[in-house]
Formats: sequence, structure tokens, C-alpha cells
Amino acid sequence: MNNHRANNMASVALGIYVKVNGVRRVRSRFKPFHIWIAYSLELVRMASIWTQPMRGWPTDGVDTETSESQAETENVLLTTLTTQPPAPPKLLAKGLHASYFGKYLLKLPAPYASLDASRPWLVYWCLHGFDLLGVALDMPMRQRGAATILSFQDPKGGFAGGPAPGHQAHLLPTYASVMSLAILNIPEAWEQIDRKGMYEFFMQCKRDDGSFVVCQGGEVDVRGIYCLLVCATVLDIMTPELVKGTDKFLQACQTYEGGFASAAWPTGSQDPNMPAAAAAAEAHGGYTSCALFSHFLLRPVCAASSTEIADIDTHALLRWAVTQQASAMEGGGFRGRTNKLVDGCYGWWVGGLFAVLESLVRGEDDSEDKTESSADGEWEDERERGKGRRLSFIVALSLTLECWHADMLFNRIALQEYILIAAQSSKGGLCDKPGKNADLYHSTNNLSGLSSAQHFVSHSAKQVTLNRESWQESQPPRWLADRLEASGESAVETDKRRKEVWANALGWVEDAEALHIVGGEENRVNTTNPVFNILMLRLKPFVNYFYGQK
Amino acid sequence: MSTLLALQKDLRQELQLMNEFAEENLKSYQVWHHRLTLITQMEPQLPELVKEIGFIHDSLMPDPKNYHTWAYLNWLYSSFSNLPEERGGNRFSSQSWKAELEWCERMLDSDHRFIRSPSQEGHDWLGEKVQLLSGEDEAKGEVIGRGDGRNNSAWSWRWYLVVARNGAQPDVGAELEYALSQIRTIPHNASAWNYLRGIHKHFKLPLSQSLPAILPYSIIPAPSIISFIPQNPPPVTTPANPDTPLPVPFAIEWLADCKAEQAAAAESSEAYTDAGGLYHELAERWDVMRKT
Repeated sequence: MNNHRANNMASVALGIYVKVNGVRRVRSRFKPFHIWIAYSLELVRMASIWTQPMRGWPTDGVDTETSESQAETENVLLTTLTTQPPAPPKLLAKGLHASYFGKYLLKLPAPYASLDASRPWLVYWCLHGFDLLGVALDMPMRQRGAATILSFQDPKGGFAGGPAPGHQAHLLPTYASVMSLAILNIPEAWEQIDRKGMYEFFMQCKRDDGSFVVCQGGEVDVRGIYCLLVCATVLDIMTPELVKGTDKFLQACQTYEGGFASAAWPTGSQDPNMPAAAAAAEAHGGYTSCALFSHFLLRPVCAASSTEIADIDTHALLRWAVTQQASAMEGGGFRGRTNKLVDGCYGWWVGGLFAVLESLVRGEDDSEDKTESSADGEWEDERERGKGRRLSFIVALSLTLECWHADMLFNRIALQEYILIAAQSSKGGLCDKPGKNADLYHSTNNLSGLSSAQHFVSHSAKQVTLNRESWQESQPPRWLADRLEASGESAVETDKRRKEVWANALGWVEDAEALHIVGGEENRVNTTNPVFNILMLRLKPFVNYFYGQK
Repeated sequence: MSTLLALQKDLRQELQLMNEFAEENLKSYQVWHHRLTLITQMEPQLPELVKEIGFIHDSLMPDPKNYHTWAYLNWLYSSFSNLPEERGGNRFSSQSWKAELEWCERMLDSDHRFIRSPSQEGHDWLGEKVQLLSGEDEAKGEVIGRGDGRNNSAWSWRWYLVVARNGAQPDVGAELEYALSQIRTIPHNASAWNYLRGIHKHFKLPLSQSLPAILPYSIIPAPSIISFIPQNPPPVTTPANPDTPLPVPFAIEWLADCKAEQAAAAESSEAYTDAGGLYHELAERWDVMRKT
């Protein structure tokens, strides 16, 4: 694009914003960071690492442990990059990776003994890895998988890291177990999930501040909250009493950087101007992802009861998230914390959160539009003429995306390049970075990250509306209906909430035209759901089963 | 564990036994949560808390960004500064907070070395054991850790100590100056820039307030080239620090945000165009990865 055109486009974008919105709104709604992104998208399509300057991060003449480990990593990655020609792009070794998952699904090497209390995770990583690679299991293997997972179900509810006795129910393996059963796709096995026991287990984990401990006597953190909310959503046991206060707890986990910490502790402050709780540590990719997804899962529950959800600062989060993408010299992957090293697993934890983040930012903008437009006849006129859509920069960005083919809020090409070039082990499986061994966790998270970079998936208001319209009246489990009735929730309110949760859970759609696969079709992996991290096609039948929908 | 909790007298012994285990398993959630459970049950007074804090500080020497260790330190202070009166109330004095902040500043001082002298034994949080020595003393001692201005975990801890904790009375001007001084030392330090932004946002200060200090890092070499350049642009360095190539992308971003802030205040489309030009420059040349 030539300079003249670029400048014109920039001016036009800004001009439209000012002209259409008027100065009153400009002041209140303007978010500078949006311009940066909007400009970038308009001026140049995202850049491959091969077209970017290969510059190491400057040390400024001050060597510290951070700069030394950074330099070491850059050297390792540069060595790897220099062995790879820009074209043709490296292939995803699907066969090798499938063999890796297959080998580990059946027999684990000795170092995995330390993960004996995480057995559902080992199963989930293998099954989801197979799914992403398009490898189907035969029925005997699926039944064996289901029997294994069900053996981890605690007699009192929830799933443990291994069979009882000796293991106790825990929120994290509960997520891994439930998602594994969804992938295995055997309704007879689904029927054996003890939802009542699980709900009671969840309530036992709940604390007064809206958080949850991961198990009896265990720690509080947002991983557990995420795992619980996913299970509650898909199994139709998401209730107001379960999630009371959780939105506020999540809000307190957001740090001054914009990302989220593992937890938040009460400050004890009586000052109304001081927060009641403060983030327990620094912003971290894994916790940020879990916190954002949790916030997203809570929204329909709040919406159904017209309760305002505790806000998170999506604009600060957006800035934090995009700044975690590492330079071309580091291969274009993601790091999980400021000034830490790039790692393949954050391709999912950070790369995977943009779909949700974009839908939240876009949604906020839409809701602001509705509020203001009702009091603004001039705007209504503009709207009727079909050319005065309210253009905050995110909406401008959305329009830009539509005009220029949908693109993402991060460099999806660079992330794919990192995973293909830096994270594939020559022996099969994927890893953190060159020189590290592959493991199941990194293998699956790299592939999930690759999926989120290839496939453009968004949460569609239109799809949610269609879902609502297709809702068929159904009943929650009897024990839960009784409990809800006792808590004062009417049957109508229950139905409305369940419908909203279900409709939103299945509100994700893929824009097939926006598929972009570095290296061509043979590198394609299947589409993972941005919130639940199982394939889109696995989610629907599983959720429908528990909500009594077709 | 439940048996241990029933036998209150064994808790301290258990904590002692846990020390070695923790040192070998610093990245384990369970290790730190186990300590948390023990300490909670012990109802410790300040001397025991000082010991525990010393243990945490020492644990951070070999692994200064260990997430679980920092989170445990945060929990310890949060928890024992907010106990209800019936459990003894706040355990920490203003001197405790001051000492902790000083330790945090040493963690963020890139010139600092944590030295353990051979004659010193045990843990002493207040610095008798782990302290800055020099010359002869340093030659005799063992360097067990280094300060690092890029340690984002330590920056977050500073935020808690200075801004977020109950009873904090932040000197906003001093915090701005602290962040700016760190930027002067390491101009490409993302942690310091994020902290500076955080202070501005939290206290609702216009970004332009820090602009004079930032401008020297936002110098764009002339002539400004709009079209995309795949080659490395010629670096420009400030005479004061030849190791710092200019501009610093964070400074361009800051300047652009200032322009945008001013544009919004002045309701000026021209100023928006200026801001846009800077974002363009940033995306095209100085922070290409975030073009998207």
C-alpha cells in the first residue's frame, strides 16, 4: 500500500469517527489503543516473522537474569529459525504427533509417575490432541476411555485425579474428566455422570467471597473457577447460588497490567474507595485465560436475572494480551508474563483468549450504542440511512475486518509459525521451545493454539438469538428443580436462565472464509471452541443431551 | 494432615521438616499450600512470621520469578495484616512494611547482589543474613541472588506494598519518579513501563504528566518513512546510553496515547491524525509484531 493511500485511509477512519459520533462521545468513548490496532489492520495485513526485523530485545547495557535468559532463548530460536527457509513453510508432522498421543494414551513412561494424581488430564490431552489432528478412535477404545474416566468419579461427586480410594474430588480433574467424556461421545457414559453429587461437591468448594477452593482443604485460584464453570455450564447445573459473588472475585484478580492473577485476597479495607480484595500476584497467561473465560461464562447467568456483572477492564486486558506476543526473533509465539520467556503453551492460553476478548469488546460497544442511540434522534436517522453505524474504533475495526476479510487481534501468522517451527519435536509431540522435551500438556496446548490461530471463531449474537428461538421447554434434574424452587427461583426464571446459558454456550460460529492456514491445507487442524477447548462439533451434542435439546 | 492439625505441637516441627522439601520443589502448588495450611493453624506472632518471610525471601533467590512463592508471600501479608481482633488482629507494624518494601527495592535494583557470608546461619528477614556487602566481605561471601529491574513479579509485589494493600498511603509523585528512574536505567524494560501506566491509570493522572521524561526516548530518526521496511531500520542511540537504540517503542506508544488524550480533550480531528500517525509509525517500524 502506498503512503498516500495509507494516510488517506487513516484520516478517513478518524474522520468518520469524529463526524459520526460527535465530539461529546469522542471524549467518553475513545480508547487510544484501538487506533493502533485499527490502523495496523487497515494499513498492512499481518506480517510473517520472515518479513519482520530480526532484532533481539535491547539490553540497554544492563545485564540481569532476565536479559541473560532472554538472550539465551533468542539465540536458541535464531539458530532454529536459520535452519528453516521461509518457504515452503514447515509441515505439521501430524502422523508423528498422532503416534505420540497414541503411545502415551496406552502406556506412559516413568517420568509421568509424578502425574499420577492428574490421570484425567493425561486422557484429556491425548483425546483432544487426537481430535485436533482429526484422528478417530474406534468404539472399543472409546468405551475403554469412558470406563477409565468414570473410574475417577468420586462416590460423593466430582472427579478425582485417580480412582478412589486414595484420591479426592478436585475441580481440575473434574473438568478434564467431563471434557474427555464429551469427546468420547457415548451417551450411556454421559448418563453415569453424577450431577447431583458434582453440584454438592461444587457447593462444598464455594467460599463466601465467591471464589472456590480446588478441593477440600485445597487452594483458591481461577483455574478451579474456570473448570467448575465449564462443567456447570455443559451439565446444566449452573445456578445463581453457585456463582454468587464469583464475578466480583474475578474482577479483583485483574492486575494493574491488565491481565489476571491466580487469585485475590481480601484487603480488609473499610474505605469505599479502596477495593475489598487485591490481586494475589502478577498477571499470568494461564490465569488470565481462565479468568476471562469464567467471566464470559457468568454473563448469561447475570443477563437472565438482569443482574449487572462486575466489570472487567477489557481494554487494559487487550493491551496486556497483545503485548505478550513475542518478537520475530523469538519466533512470534506468546509469553505468559511480562519479561518472561516465550513458551508454546501460551499459544493457547493467550492466543486462544482473543476470540472471547473480541466478542466482549464488540459486545460492550454494541450495548453502549443501544443506550446512547435511544436518546439520540440524529443518530437514529443516520442509522436508518444505513451509513451511520456508530463507529467507535472497535466497531470501525469490525467493519475493517469485514471489508478486508476477517482478521484477528493478534498476529495469527506469526503464532502458527512459532508452533510449526519452534514447538514441534522431531520425535513427535510438541514442546515449550527448541531444546525442551515434548510432553502431553505442551502438545495439546500448542495444537489448541494452532487451531485458534487458523480458525476465525466468534461469538455470534445472531446465533445466540437463533438458539433462543429454537429452545424447547425442558426441565432441570428434579433434585435441582426442588432446590431452585426452595431458593425462591420461579420455574419461569429457571427456564429463562437455562435457555440463556445454553444459547450462549452454543453461540460460537466459524467464519469459513477467514480460515488461514500457514503451510496450506495439510497443516489444518480441527476447530476448537474458544471457551471450552474441545472441538466445536463435540460440544453441541454433549450440551444438548444435558439440556434436553435436539 | 488432619492428624497433624489435631496435634498442634507438631505443626512447627512439620514446618521445619517442610523447609527442605520446599527447597527441592519450589514450583509445586502443594508445597506452598501445605505451608499456608500449617501457618494458618499455628496462629503465629510476628517473630514466627519474620522467620517464614525470611524463608520465602531465601526461596526466591534461586528462582526469583516463582509464581507460587510470590503468591504465598502475598497471602501471608494479606492474611496476617487483616485478622479480626479475636484472632489477634494485625501482626505487622509500619516498620514491617517498610522493611519489606526495602527488600522489594533490592530485588528490583539491577546492581544489587544478595550475599551470604559463611559465618551467617539461619534466616533473618531483616538483613543480618542476606544483605549487601562489598569489598572484602563480598569476596568472602556467596552471591545467592541478584537484583533485577526486569523482574515483573517483584514489580507486582511493589504494587501491592505501595498501592493495593490496606493502609497503604502511596506517595504518587514518588512512585512516578521510581518508575521513571527505572526506565532511565533500562529504557526497554516492559515491567517499568507497565507499572508507570498502572500508576497513571489508578490515580487518574493524564499521561502527559510524565511526557517530558519520556520524550527523549521517543525520538524517531528522520526522515520518517511510512512504507514498510523489511530491513532493520538504522538504530539511533542517545549519547547518554550508547546501548539504547532509539526510539523505545513504549515511548512512541506513550506519546501517541498522549496525543490521543489531548485530541479527545481538545475535540480535534487533527490531533487524532497526529496520534494515528504515531500508531502507524509504531506498527510499521518499531513494533511490527503488533501490526494486527
